Amino acid sequence: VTEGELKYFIEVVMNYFEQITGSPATMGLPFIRKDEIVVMDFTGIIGISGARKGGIYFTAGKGLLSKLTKAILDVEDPDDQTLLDMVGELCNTIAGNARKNFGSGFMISVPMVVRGKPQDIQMKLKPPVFIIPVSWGGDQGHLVVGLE
Amino acid sequence: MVQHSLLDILWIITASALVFVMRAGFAMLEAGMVRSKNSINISVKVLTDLGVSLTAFWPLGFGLMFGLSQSGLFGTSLFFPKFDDQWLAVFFLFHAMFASTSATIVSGAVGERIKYSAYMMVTLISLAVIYPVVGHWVWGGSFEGQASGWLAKMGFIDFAGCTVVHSTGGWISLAVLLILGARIGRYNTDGSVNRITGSGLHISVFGTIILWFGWFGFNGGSTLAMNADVPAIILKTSLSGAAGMIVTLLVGWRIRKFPDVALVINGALAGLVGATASCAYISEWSAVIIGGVAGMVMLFAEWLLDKLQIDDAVTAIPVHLGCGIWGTLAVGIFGDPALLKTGLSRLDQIWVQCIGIGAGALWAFGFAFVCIWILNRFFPIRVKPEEEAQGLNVMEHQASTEIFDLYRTLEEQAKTGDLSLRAPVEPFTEVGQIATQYNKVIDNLQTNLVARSEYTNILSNVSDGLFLLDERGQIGPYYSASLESILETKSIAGRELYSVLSPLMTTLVMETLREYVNVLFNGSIDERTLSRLNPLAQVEIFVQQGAEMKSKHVQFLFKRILEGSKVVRLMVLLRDVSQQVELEKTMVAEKQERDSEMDLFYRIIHIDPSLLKEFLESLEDKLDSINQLLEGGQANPGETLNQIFRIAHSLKGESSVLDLKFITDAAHSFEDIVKNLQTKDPLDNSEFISLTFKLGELQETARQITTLLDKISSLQKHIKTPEGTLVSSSKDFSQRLAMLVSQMAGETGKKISFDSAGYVETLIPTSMNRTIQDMVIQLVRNAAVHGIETPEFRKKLEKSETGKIELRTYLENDALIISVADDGKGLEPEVLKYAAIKAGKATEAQTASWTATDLIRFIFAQGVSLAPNVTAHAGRGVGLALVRELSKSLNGKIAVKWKTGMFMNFIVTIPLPKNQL
Repeated sequence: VTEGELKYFIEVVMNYFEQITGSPATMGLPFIRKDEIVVMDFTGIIGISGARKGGIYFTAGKGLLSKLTKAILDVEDPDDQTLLDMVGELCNTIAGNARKNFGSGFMISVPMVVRGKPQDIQMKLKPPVFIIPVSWGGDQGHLVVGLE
Repeated sequence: MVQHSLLDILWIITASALVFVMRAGFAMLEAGMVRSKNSINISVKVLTDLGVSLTAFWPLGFGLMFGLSQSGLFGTSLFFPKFDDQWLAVFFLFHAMFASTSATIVSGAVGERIKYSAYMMVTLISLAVIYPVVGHWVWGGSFEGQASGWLAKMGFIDFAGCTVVHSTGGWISLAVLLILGARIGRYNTDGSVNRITGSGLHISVFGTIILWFGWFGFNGGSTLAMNADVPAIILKTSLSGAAGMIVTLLVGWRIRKFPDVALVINGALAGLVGATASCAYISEWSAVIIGGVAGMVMLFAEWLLDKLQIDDAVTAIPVHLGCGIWGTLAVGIFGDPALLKTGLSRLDQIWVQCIGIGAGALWAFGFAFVCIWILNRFFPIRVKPEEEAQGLNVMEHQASTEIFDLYRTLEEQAKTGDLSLRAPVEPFTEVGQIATQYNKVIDNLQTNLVARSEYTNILSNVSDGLFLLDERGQIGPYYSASLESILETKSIAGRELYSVLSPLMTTLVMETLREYVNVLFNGSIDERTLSRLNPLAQVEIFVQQGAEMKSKHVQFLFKRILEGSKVVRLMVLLRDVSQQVELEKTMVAEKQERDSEMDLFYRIIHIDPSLLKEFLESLEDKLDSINQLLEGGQANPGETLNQIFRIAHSLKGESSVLDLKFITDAAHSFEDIVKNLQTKDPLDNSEFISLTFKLGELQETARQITTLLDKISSLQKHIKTPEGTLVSSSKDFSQRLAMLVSQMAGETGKKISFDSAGYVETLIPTSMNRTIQDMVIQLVRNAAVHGIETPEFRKKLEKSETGKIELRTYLENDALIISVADDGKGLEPEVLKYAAIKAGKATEAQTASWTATDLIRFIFAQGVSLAPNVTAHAGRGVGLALVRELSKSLNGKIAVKWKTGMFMNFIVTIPLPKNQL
């Protein structure tokens, strides 16, 4: 992955929060994980192939996604499926933007959403895996980028 | 008893013959109106009627009809009559023919579904009982010339049998039909009618002509004498028939929008039936009106039957029952009382006619219904559905027709798919010609199918994807089984290629494919040139599995299929070349890795592997520390940056001691980024991306070295390296320092002698070794860069051109002392103060009151450098700060002695744990 691409993904996530909810998210210090990757309650994964191979995922806790649901759908106390839909929607936005901006040499998968720890997530990511903490409304999520 | 002339006898015999010929008419009419599969069955029933009627009429029927009357209800004599009497014989002959006609009406109505045996039973019942009884009521006593039937006595007139023959036949038909039900497929669930086309209406037309001809005898003979009335009777009957035909045709034409052949036939018959009861008593105009109305009655009755879903195969009930009733009534309406001679008024006559109609209905329908209902209970009268489907010709009589044999072959083929079957060919028949042509088609089909099954075999076994593509971009109906497995997509036949491939390809490849296919369909460009330019000789396709995109490498090959010079299709071959491509890729990647490893190898070859390993551990530790600082330092990015910087600097020092220039450079550019971030105010976290990204690169370098080192270690087990050729392990730290000093001297144009004789490494506890080495590196670098002056400068100061740096370690009061001393310029307070003001660390006024302690504090602060330029060795202003941090981590203290222009001495005192002493 190039530095520019990495920045682009972060920007997409940041813009998502800003545009959808009106209140901006804050990015933490990006770091690298070699072995143990960061996975929270709900995760949306996008596979990327073609000119670059690997994966991107966004993972967040119930707190962040509940607030996001409230902000977007005005629903209190959403069920797990709605939270999964929320994280899926965010990943859709990432995938959609990636498709638009990364040119024709990329294949970007339809996002897959999982609850809990996804199987073989490590396999989909190519090192170095960059982890970007994102906090919004006092809750934490992580954008994880592992592309060649 | 009336005397009869020979002429009468001749006429009645002739009339009987004409009525007999009507049987041929009925056979043709009915056979033409049903489907060919039942034609033989229906014809033979007409003939059978004759046999049954004669055998039933002679012993029983005739006596019941014409014997001495019992209360006007039925006859009681003349059973098994002897034909000694000439007139009796003629009379019997004529009425036997009449009787069987009545039975034949039933045969047509119930056609195509009744069992032959059941039909014979029905005929027997009707001719032995039903018909003779009605006949007795109307014509009883006519043999003697004295009416004896109860209806006749009331004045009921039925000249030639509208009620006795036609209506009775019609009522029996209705009773049977109600029990029998409609033919399969005749009526839809919504009540609409399916027209069942007859096998040959031309035959029916001939039959009708014969029937009309027979009617001359039927009505004309009913005079039972050759008298002056006969010609008029025959003509009035014909007039009525003609009127019936014309009216039905015209009305039907208007309704059905075409001249329906069946209506011409049935219209004529309706008119003929209509005049049967009255033809001897009416005027010509009446005959026309009766015939016309009869046609309308027939049309109405036909519509009514379909409405009630009563399936009459040959429209017998509308013609015979409908018009029989009308004809009977017409006697009362149009009959000339002078000729009727009943003495009844017209109204009374009509009333009596109505009684006759009702009585006939009750008896004929009622008795027939009861008898046949009982019969059907014990002996079902209808054939099985499959027999009905196959046709009664074969099922009842095993009488096949060529068309049936052809049909059977077709059906067998449809059922079994056995293409080896051939239709029987009857020479010189139309069906035979059809069968011959059909067999030819099957021959070709079979040849093609054998060929096709071979293609199919190839298609299901070839390992490549193979398909045809048409100009619209659609995939052909046949393709190899492998195509589905290569594309991991099912049911591709007839689909558009691009829609199948678009989820599997990047848009770039997709566009290329589209353009190339377009060019291939353009016949003007040479195919060989095109195939050399094939941009799809190797492309990557992707299949999503979960969130992962599994990739495959495929090769597309195209071949034009021409018709004349036009490209009509492309044959496309799709081959999975993943293994081959992966192998190539692996080889290329391995070569690249080897090259970069060799490159790396040259960069590290001068260092002893164990020493390198030690460095590598330190490198990885440091990188991990930086990463942990990032991960854990979210709250205070500024402080995190400072800590990161010190680690990076120490890494740089360490690598420069080992002369690992590429790592020194990488660490230096890492420092650049950190430094740059430190100047940002406010500091945005997104700025850290470059830093983390660089960290990733360094990690990758470390990984590469580790891999290489593992390889070298395993190599070393086999090869012993000669002593002294490599920068060896940690006990030679002082040597490495000496190298670093001489390198720095070379780079800065200084002359430096490095004395490390007093550096006793054994005094240093292993646990502190790396920290102390880091500290020593920084102090020695500081001395070399900042302490020692250039030879020219030293010369001016009358110092030896060669500067001196001395490194010593010793123990003092349970502490380890590390001393780095140089004979350089010492501290220059004015220079330091100027630097502090310039860096904005202090004002001029503040520096004016600086003590020696302030000066020392200043040089140990981070971000202060006295070097004019930033180089790999100096200029960051972090070296002494790092020393301070490192010393602090070992609970050490630093003392500084100096004399401006003369010397500088850093003394670090580190307390040792008791057990280390």
